[in-house]
Amino acid sequence: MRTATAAAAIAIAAVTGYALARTRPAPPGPPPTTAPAAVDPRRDLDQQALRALIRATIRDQLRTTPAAVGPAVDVDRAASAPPPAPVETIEPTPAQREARRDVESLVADAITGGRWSDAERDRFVALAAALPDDERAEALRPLIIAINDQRVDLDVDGPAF
Amino acid sequence: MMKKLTLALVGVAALTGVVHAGLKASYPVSINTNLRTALGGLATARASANPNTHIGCYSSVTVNPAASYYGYCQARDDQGVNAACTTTSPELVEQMARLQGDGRLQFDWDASGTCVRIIVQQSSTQAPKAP
Repeated sequence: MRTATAAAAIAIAAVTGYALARTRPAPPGPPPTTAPAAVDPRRDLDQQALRALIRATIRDQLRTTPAAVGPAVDVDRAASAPPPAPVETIEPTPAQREARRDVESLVADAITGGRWSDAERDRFVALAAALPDDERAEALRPLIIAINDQRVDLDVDGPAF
Repeated sequence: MMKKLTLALVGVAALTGVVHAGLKASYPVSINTNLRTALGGLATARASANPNTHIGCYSSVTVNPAASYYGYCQARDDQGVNAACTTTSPELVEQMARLQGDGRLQFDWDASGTCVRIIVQQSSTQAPKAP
């Protein structure tokens, strides 16, 4: 497959270069009058024939390379590479599950009562100490939304959560 | 000659007075629930006549058993309007931690109460907190 790709790249570069050479405008300045005209060896190439040759080469390579389908794989590297590490998930402990339930209950009661005071804050801090940060943020989310909607009055001295 | 000297002295005194005065600004806590933004100076909030007015942030970084970040900001203005947001974004938590005692804070949040922007400002215009 690599051989085919290389052959195709060389061939395409040749065609592209040929096309550019044909269409590139003349450089500014007076044309050389004394130097003999340079002969471009690509000038006499038959573009159609060259393209047909490229196609035939690629076809042949693909036919003779069974593993040519699919993404290129460096077999040596793939064989020696370590397997992907499993995604580590930390299961909550029973104590954390209970703390999460208690925090959710505390938050729900505060939303119903429309008030989050020092007592709720102290209870929350005690319970949330057992929770990972993301769980703590998630458990608080309904309360934060209610506070921002002015449905819960924040009546605390100091930190709210 | 005497008149010119007097004028010069007056000018120098005036200039010196200006330099010593310095620019001062106060930043009362202001909350816009439509724009979901709150801002205010910590010292200005503390000096507010309303004893419940406040603004500030809390930030926490955990390294064990896994690295995690958690923080929140909260504010209450003189009219009793409340605002708060939480985040687990390392960038925002670190920004919260940059807030200093006499700084000015702005925090913005989205519909879920998640902080989306934290601005902290330290400037000579901000007053130090009075008792």
